[in-house]
Amino acid sequence: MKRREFLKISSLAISLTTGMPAFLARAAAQAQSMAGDKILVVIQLSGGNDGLNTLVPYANGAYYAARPNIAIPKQEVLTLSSSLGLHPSMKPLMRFWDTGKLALLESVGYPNPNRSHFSSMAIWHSGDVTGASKEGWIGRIAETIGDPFCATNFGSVTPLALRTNELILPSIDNLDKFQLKLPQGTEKAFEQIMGLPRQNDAEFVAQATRHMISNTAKVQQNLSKYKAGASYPENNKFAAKLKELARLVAANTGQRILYTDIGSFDTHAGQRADQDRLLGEFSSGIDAFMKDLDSQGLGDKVMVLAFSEFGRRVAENDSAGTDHGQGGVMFVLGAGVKGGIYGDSPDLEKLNQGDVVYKQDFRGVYARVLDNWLKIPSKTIMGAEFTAPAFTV
Amino acid sequence: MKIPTKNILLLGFCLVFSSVQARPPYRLQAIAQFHFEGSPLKKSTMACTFCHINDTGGAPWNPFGESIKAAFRANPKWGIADALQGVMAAMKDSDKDGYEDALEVFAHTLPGDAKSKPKEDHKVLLERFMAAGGPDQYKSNKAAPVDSSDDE
Repeated sequence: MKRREFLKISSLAISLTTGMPAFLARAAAQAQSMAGDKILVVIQLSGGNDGLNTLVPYANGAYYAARPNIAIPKQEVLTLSSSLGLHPSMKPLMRFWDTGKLALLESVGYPNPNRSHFSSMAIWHSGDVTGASKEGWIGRIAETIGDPFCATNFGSVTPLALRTNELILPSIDNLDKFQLKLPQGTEKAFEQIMGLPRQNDAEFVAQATRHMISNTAKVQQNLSKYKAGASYPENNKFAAKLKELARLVAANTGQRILYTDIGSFDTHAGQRADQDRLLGEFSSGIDAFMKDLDSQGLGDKVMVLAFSEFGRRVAENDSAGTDHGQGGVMFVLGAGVKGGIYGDSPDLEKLNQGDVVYKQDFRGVYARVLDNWLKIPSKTIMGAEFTAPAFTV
Repeated sequence: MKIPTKNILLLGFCLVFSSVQARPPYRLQAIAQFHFEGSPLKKSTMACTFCHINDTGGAPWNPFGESIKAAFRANPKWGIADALQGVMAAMKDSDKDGYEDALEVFAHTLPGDAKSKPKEDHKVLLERFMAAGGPDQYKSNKAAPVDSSDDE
């Protein structure tokens, strides 16, 4: 059987069994992933996070001149260097900075930037800067390592990043709902059907289903044993998602990549109110998530990568907001990270159509994480060699 | 290459879905905060011309939209809910048609278009408006659901 056919059948097995989440299906298929037990948590900051008010060039007069109403005052900035500091809402992340576990990458983008949310997000998801590809970089990982269950999105719709032409990796929005329960009174009939002799692909699907059933209870047991090792902030939907991801990690489901999102960072008006709140939710959520994992002895297994589809324009608009721009800021934190600020700060007096000029290709950041953390050859996944500063250990 | 019909239907659904997703959160907030009834997916519930000159939204803004923008500039830490509330409380007549913005919101006419104004006598309408709670009825303690952003 060709690999693609195998993957299609495996996916079918998932969909046939009530959209079983990746960990259950993984147990069923007994897929062998490439060596390694490191986990990458990818967080999408939807809407286009404003990088300049995130990693603030507080020593740059041009920044304050361009943003008379919405700039972060120098005295409020969380100082990282003589010229840069974090947004004050991101204080919960300072402990990662202080311990060398937070890397910030400046002016990240791609050639010929696209200001459309949809188009730019598709480029970040696929890694194809032409926007033509319909295959996501995480979906390609699944195909490459032959494990259609290596990644899961926590949300309602699987993003392009987790799709290929052949595969749609699973999305979960409630772990507890994903249990394999046969309708009452059908158990016996189901057993009989499963007991029928089969060959080849049919036998594979049947065997996968049997494994799935036998492992479902075990995995659910593991999930039910989970006890949060940290207090998650209330009224923070993003933190609630991360808590569910922590359950998945703690349940030892064998997944390599977990994906979720927070938004909307599309701050065309009243930016300070919305971005201040969102960055606070993002930071406090991450802080609780990592504390939780640390308390369970799992912190060393998890690296967090956060991105947004673009940054925003340097000058504020006349609604105390900012419009779509180009280069932005990426975050990488947790295990395996060599903390610091990487890349050149934007030259605010040398802009491209009023935007920060991108200097670091985002595909280089993916590549470094693939090669150094997940130990998956990046050239195979990204289709070419890309480079990034050494932000990983 | 032939594309199966079901895929075309699916694509159609996705396109419709994506345009639904494209509704900006500011409009959703205004619909909720101004107590406009009806599906937020329908322009008849609240037209883009409530704040914009063009029916498709975007620049330029009408005088009421400009009042909201001015509120943001004057109060950079305000969110959209604060800005809407602030403009209502100001009892300004943005389009200078003789009816304050809050009265036009109450009467469901366009506060940024002088050609659109309540038919009811100003004094009578004002009395009804104040009896209903005055500008305070447009206070908001809760943000409307924030959707993904528009694509432009």
